[in-house]
Amino acid sequence: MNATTALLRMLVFPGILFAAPAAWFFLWIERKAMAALQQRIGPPFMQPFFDFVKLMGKQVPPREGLGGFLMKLWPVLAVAASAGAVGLLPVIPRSGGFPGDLVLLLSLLELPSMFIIAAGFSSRSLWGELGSSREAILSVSYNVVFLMAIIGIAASQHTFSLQALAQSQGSPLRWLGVLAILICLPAKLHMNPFSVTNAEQEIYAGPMTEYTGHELALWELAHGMEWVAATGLVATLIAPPLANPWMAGALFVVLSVAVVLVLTIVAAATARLTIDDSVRFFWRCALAFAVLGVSSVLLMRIKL
Amino acid sequence: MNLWKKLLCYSRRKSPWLFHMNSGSCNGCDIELIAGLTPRYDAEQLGVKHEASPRHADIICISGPVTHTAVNAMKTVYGQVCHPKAVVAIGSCPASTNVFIDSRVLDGPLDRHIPVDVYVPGCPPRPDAILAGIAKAAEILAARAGQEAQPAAAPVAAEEEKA
Amino acid sequence: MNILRLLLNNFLGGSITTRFPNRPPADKGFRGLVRYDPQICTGCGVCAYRCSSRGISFRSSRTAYTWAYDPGQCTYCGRCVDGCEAHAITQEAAPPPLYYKRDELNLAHTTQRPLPPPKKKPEAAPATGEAK
Repeated sequence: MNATTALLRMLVFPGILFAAPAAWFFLWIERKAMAALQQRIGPPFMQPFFDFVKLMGKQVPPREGLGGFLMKLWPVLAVAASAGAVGLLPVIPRSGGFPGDLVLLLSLLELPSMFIIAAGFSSRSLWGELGSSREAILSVSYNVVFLMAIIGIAASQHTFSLQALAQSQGSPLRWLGVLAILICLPAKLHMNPFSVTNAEQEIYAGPMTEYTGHELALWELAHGMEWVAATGLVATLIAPPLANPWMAGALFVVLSVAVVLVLTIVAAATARLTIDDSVRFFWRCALAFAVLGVSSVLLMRIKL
Repeated sequence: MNLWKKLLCYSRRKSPWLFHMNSGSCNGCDIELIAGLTPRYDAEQLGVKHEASPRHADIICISGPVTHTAVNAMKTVYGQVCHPKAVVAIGSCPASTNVFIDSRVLDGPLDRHIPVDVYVPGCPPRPDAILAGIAKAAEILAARAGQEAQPAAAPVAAEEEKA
Repeated sequence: MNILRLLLNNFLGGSITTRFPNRPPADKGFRGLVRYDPQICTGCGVCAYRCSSRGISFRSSRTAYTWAYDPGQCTYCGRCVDGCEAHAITQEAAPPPLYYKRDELNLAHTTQRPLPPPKKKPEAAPATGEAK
């Protein structure tokens, strides 16, 4: 991957230029599917895009000093990180990539939640700080499982390259890993069983309480891109390798949307767990799974 | 630039986000507003989102005759909602204090404190009437796209001397 | 698993939402705006007396009386309708319309009292619930 292809992937496809509409589309799908499961009509087509434009045109109260600067900075960084994560996805096979880009993708996926934690604390709002501390506790719990699942999958294929992972055949162990990732995704995307972070109405809007106007618009965009990146990662892992790039791209999108739908159904079927229960769930139940997965992968490697 | 203005105008009409404030209401109007979010009426078809933080909201829905204790909170909330904003008074209480008229715990009808854009009459109003009011307020918001300055930032200051 | 079956049924059942500009019709006994017929009104003022929220005010003098109604103040309880002996007050069976300025929907109607016959002095209007 040379500099131009890297830049193209970052900025055009599947980076910002593609990822922003995709983010709005995925957010819309999520809201629409939620509405369909509740016998509602749901928002009109591409509603998140109009939300974005409206928020861009809203005034922001004057913010002064370092705190104000940071409050402006975090959403931009979050958008950049999640756009970078989307840019790394191997939507079209053999379009470049480098060994170890899985590690970079994971770190870029992790950055937005770091920024959310920082954003909540720098907004100096009580609810923001509460939401941030919840996010911090939650991310410490689900990330162990999430990373272990990814490590298990990567170790079973002896590679940390997304390209190679996408090309290789799935094994039962990989499905176990994908299941673990799917369990972690609601926590990563602040979806319902683990939506303690931005728990709507309960702690106002969590870390986002003080954000408004274009800052909030960028947060929404970053959240949508996180959706694209996280579902794309799952789609990469479960997609069968296809030679035709168009077919591969289409399959990728279809699988991503399917993952969105699965997550929406889970969100619609569950209620919000408290922070204690979420953490207990991840450390007691999901961690056992993940350890089992990783250890079996490592044992298999020894046999080989 | 003109295209952007048009798009902005359209988007403001398409995505009104609510903040709901109870200023001493009997809860009737609050329940009807929430009923507007249920599958039967589904406010989300208008792009409405019921926001928890006034910073995110465009439209403030206020129910209840304004009690003395609610006045300051209400003015604070009104100030926290950022520029293009509209106020919907739900029910008869904010319009005129309704049956609580002359009560000594009240601080008058709502428009003594903040400018109100749409009144939804009823005691309580039906959810579909509230939705119609919100849609109207969204149109008012879109019409406000032209004026970039804060429109007469409400008589918030009058309350400060006591504190 | 019960909830999943519920969700599936919801999904297959389609939406039950009323599309926005359409509104479900009001029930038959719906209590909407108060309507007043000055032709039938006897000017007794019981409506103002019975009004629980001072939405109706009734001002009476020897020569005329004024019936005024403020929908913003109205509770739509229907006590005025029930109390009106002459059935001059009715209620619309439709939800009241939105309004944008205070007192926009207010109604006031002044009726001249019929001139008294020259001999007898007119009795004072019974029960003139003078509203402040």
